[in-house]
Amino acid sequence: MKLPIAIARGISASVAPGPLVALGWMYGLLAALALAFTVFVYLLIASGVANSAVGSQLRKGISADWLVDTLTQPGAGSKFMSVLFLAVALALVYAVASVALSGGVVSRIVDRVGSGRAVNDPFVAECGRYAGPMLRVAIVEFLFLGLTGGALVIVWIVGMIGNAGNAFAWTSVTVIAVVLSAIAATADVARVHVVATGDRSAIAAWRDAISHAVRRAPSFVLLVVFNLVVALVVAWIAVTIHSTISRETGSGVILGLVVGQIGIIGRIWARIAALASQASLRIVSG
Amino acid sequence: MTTRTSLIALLAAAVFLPVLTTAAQPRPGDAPAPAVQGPPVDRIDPRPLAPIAPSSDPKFRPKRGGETLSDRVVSYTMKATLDPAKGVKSVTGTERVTWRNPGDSPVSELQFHLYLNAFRDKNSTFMKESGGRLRRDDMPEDGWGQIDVTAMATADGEDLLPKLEYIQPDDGNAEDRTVARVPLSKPVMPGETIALDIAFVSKLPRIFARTGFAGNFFLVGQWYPKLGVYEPKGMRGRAEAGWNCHQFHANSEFYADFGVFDVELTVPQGFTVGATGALLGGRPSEDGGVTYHYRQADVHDFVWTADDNFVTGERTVSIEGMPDVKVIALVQAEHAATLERHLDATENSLRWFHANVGPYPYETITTVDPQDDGGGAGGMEYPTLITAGINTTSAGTLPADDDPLLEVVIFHEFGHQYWYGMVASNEFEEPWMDEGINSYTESLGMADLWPAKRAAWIAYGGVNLFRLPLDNPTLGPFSRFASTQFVVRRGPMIGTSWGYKGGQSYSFNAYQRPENALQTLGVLIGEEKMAEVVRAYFARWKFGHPTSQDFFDVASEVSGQNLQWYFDQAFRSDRLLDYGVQSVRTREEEEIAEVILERTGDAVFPIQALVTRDDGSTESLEWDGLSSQQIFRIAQLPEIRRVDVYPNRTPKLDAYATNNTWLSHSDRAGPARIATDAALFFEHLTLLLAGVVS
Repeated sequence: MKLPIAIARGISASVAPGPLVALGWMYGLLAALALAFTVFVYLLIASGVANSAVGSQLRKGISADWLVDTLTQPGAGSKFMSVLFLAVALALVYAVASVALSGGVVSRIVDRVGSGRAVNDPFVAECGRYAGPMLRVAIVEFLFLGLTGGALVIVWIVGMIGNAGNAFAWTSVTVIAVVLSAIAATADVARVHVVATGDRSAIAAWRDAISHAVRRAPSFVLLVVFNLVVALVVAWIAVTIHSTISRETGSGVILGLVVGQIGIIGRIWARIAALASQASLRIVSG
Repeated sequence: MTTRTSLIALLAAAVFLPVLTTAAQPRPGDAPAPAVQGPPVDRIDPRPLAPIAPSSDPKFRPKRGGETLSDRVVSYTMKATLDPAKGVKSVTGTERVTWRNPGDSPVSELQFHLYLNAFRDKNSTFMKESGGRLRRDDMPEDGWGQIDVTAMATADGEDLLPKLEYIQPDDGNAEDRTVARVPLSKPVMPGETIALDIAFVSKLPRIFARTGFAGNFFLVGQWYPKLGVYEPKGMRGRAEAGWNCHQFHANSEFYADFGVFDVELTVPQGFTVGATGALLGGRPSEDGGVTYHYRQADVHDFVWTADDNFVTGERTVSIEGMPDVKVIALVQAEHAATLERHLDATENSLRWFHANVGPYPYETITTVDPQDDGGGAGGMEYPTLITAGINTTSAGTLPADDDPLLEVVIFHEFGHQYWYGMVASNEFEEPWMDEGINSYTESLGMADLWPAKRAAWIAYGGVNLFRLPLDNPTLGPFSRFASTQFVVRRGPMIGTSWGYKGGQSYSFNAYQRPENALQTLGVLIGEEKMAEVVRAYFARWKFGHPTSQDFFDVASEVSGQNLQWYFDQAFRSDRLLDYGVQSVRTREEEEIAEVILERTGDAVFPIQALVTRDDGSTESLEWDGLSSQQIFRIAQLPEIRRVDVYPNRTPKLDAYATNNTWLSHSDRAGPARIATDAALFFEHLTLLLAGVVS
């Protein structure tokens, strides 16, 4: 019964005021970066199609005319690279900032699924308090993800190039997704350890997390799979609903923007709920 | 926190709301373009043009009204037996081939294609050019194939086998054995016929390119010794008579004489067979198999397929003005759900070509669906038999109803019955003439027949996962890329199939660029005239071997104007075509507006731009297109709302579309949509890559 309880407590905790504040911070950060990206891309596109009917074609989505011109006109390479560079830079900013914010996020979740102690410190202060150990936990996580994910992806690429078949294609992707999710979930438990115990050692946190994952392997893996499915379903719903919205008019674009952002919020919520359920499992498991 | 994120959303809305209000402007109607006589091309650019063969001597135009459709220079009577056993996979055969000297002078040697030797080892010209990889398939290590001529003698018994020698007319690659010559002790006099008896064993390659086997699926093409084409002086503009017999190349394999094929094929019990021509009958063979007898006249090749996994569909198509045609589909059992779709696509293609190009004169057309592992045999054309391929079109999954790829492939390959099959241009020397003209008619036919099938899917692991927000690239929405500097500046469109520079140059210059040039020709002379050109070209050159210049001549004749200036630029040069509206500015004090048109490329094209004003009135601006810029001073009022360089149809040869129009008000909703979609994609990807908390 520990697994259903962990899921229920995780979902309950994810919609509590404290974690919602964390969600707000995470979304606000991403939205701000996305806004900067949007403005940059808009100005780039608008300047390219100013006073041209090709601009109207874009109401229906990317048009072949626009795409060919964009890719082949003199200077196209530098424009494309500038967009790519901005996207990568903003994604890196988000990655680093989200690590910095993770202490605040986890402390609010632990507060909900743990002792019920009220967190009186401001969110930012909580983030600052745990920034060091969270960074160290994240570095270890990136190492695990990079090495394991890299190896699995190489196997996948070799298999796909070798026409290993549809069964391999799906099995390999499933394995990659579950393994990487399990690593991320273990890292979550390590973060919970840091906040719940006050132990600032990343090594100790990872040791505890791995020990928990091994001791509670069936429940832990099932929870990883459950959370992965939830995340995929939320993402699929978000993309599907957004794709049904006609964005050929100004109001359609605004509606698409709003619905798209609701989908993004949903994805962040699914991630926080997953963290909360893993935290709950760790705490109820002792 | 919720308050803060809402503020960000509102801020985004505030940025975009004011810019999302301009309505899209309607385009003018699609009136036919006026026929405009163009300028001599050397007035603007004196650079030399790519050399091409001159027009064919009129006496080599196919004769009409005779007893046969073609000149029937050759005939093949063949018997072949398939051994599908593991480790064997070969065809053992004999043929009696006859050849009539069509020229005015004696011929003292014969030249043969032995194209299966392209798969003999890594040293063949084909393997060197392709690098062992073609159309996403790799040559398997254990998949080599070859053809061995085991006997060759004249009908009166002279053994020619010792005299057979391999030659390499294209590249001098001594390791290439795809062409052979045999000297004759007695020359063949003009009009005289020689008969040879040949025995051969063809070990089939494992399919990665066009021909061979995959499991028990066999697509047996280029499998027998086939004569090259002896071209008399004047044929295809040839200065001196001689054999035209090219090696097997990565991008070309077809050029042969018309004739009669009478073939008996023996296969084991349980195999379904499809082949060029009409099935005359079948009988048990002495070795316990089945022998099928096929015959087809007025074709220049013979191909066949066998598989123990086919399901078969047939229907008879009756169209006034041509014989009934039996449409046959041979589809893999696991793709049986697409059997009717194969038949429908083939029948619709047949009807379209009959209505728009000319009658289909044969009694059969067979569409073959190769086995999944034999995708390299898909998308191929042979006389009266074509291959499609679910595997080559939808990554292993059955195609969605709105996915056009199956229909595109079938329509395209059926089109080759006309452009390659009947109009038998030389694929080696002028590849645009079959693939390019075929791509042009494909674009017309697909728009006519399946306008709603436009989807492009991202497939993974045999499942269509995601429909792209774009028209399927196979339909040619991106074909204009072949008109941009990245393709055009690399050289002229016309060239040998193996002579293009760069990886995709052949594809661009054989398919998309000529399609663009022919569509542009339609803009220049009008669509009705263009349709007449296509019909007239087919009518004149079916069962013949035309050159590029022969096509150009037909176009000039039908249009009633000398279009050489256009063909010289579009087909024989690296000149870029691009015109645009540079700006529209007003001179308040003079109450005039200046519309400035510019030529940003170095190709010349007559322009008839259209000015549309706020009150709906229009004004045409004519320009010969010679200068780099042309300023038109017109009345300022009523306000100019729009200027179109190409008001009726945009020529696909025009490199850049963005400058083809000028609007008084920019449409900002389009860019806003793309920007917000891109940002949403960025957010999803960032969440995926960076995680949320970690």
